[in-house]
Amino acid sequence: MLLVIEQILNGLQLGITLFLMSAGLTLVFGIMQVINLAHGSFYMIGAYVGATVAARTGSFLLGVAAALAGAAIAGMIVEVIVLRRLYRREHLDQVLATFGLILFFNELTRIVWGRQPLMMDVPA
Amino acid sequence: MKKLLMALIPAGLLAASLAMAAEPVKIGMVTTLSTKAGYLGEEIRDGFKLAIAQENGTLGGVPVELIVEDDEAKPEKGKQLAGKGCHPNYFSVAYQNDNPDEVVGQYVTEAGHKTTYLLAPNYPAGKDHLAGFKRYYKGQIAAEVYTKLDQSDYAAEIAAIRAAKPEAVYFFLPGGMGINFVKQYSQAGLIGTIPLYGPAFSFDERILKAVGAAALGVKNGSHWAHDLDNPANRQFVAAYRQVYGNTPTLYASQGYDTARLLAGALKAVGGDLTRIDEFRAALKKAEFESTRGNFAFGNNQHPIHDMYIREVIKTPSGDYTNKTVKKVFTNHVDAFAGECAM
Repeated sequence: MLLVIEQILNGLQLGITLFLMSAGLTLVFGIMQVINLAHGSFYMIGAYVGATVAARTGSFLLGVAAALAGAAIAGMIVEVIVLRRLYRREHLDQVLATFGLILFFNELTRIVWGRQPLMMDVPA
Repeated sequence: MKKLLMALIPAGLLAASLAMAAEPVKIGMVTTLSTKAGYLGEEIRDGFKLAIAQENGTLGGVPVELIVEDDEAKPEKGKQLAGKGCHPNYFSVAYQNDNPDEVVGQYVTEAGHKTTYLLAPNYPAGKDHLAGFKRYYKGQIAAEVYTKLDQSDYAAEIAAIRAAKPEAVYFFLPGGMGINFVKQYSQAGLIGTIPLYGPAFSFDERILKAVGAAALGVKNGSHWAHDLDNPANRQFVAAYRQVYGNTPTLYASQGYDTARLLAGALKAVGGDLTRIDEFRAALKKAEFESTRGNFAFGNNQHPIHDMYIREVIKTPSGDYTNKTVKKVFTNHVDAFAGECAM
């Protein structure tokens, strides 16, 4: 019985994480008509910034706030520099450009945070 | 981890044989410097460089030049050379891939755990490692679970372990996988109830920095530890700490041992690599002071060495490190030596 309850909770947790991710993706596509393949990169930047701030300050809440701010700032910069030029163009161009952004952000996080994964403790 | 075996092939042997004694002997090193596994290659290289630096740019009195190349952690570029494919020009100073699993298998048997739950990623090395464990484990296998490579969340597996109630858990999950698994295993409250065992890879001092207190008390198998009490090792660990500022891992010890082995063989031929047969014979004799104490080459030119169980402890300064608990095998020969016709 414990196994069933535990696995239901695990499933819910994973499902909600995926739902949050995909909700953001469809929201951007539905409202702004932009296919943003780099959506996951913003998620990644938020996670890296959050983990870094939480580790430096020791406060999980500050980490969450920093994660939101970090992802938002990265999103605004990308909007101004890249996406603004793509609104009127075809979806294929958007796919190409945002795929390029994935590669760019992957390399950027490697340069800034290194190759080793960052670890976070469960908030006390 | 096959790449670790390749990493230590003195790949420059043939290239070097053309060089005159007056020129530096060129030593080629192919190792993993990029990707997440990059720190392994860094340590191997740094250990090797330390040995050269200790002899002021020479090995065995012969000037050498080290050329390092990155293999980008692509094991498909490597080749199986331990068993049937053994070759007179191929020497491995590292360890047989499943050595650390064999020693834990033996130790878990001796500790009297009657059922063990096994966990590894679903790829050839994962299966090799669990095969090594099973070769020496005499109890019952509660389950043998293969997870997705690079999985980061082990909640489902941990729930299944809790339900299966084995007497011990053995896992091979290198790199970030192991870091996540050990932390989650500890967070699930299982570390105090079902003892966890693993190979040395998930408990080196770099990994322990990320895992921290979650790994405390976990026993792991290795052919080397920084506290092995022999003169070569004491000297190596002290020198490495002084130069690089941290405690060496088994990878650094391997790089250092390889350089010391080459030093002995270079000295035997006076740096003249046209005498390649003598050079090969000198390598095979392995007359050097290894940081792991006993060291000899088997017929397949893989090491015959002792195997240890170590335990993760907390130092007074608050770091996590390994303490040698027990020597389980003395002069251990790997399982593939018999297949080699040399």
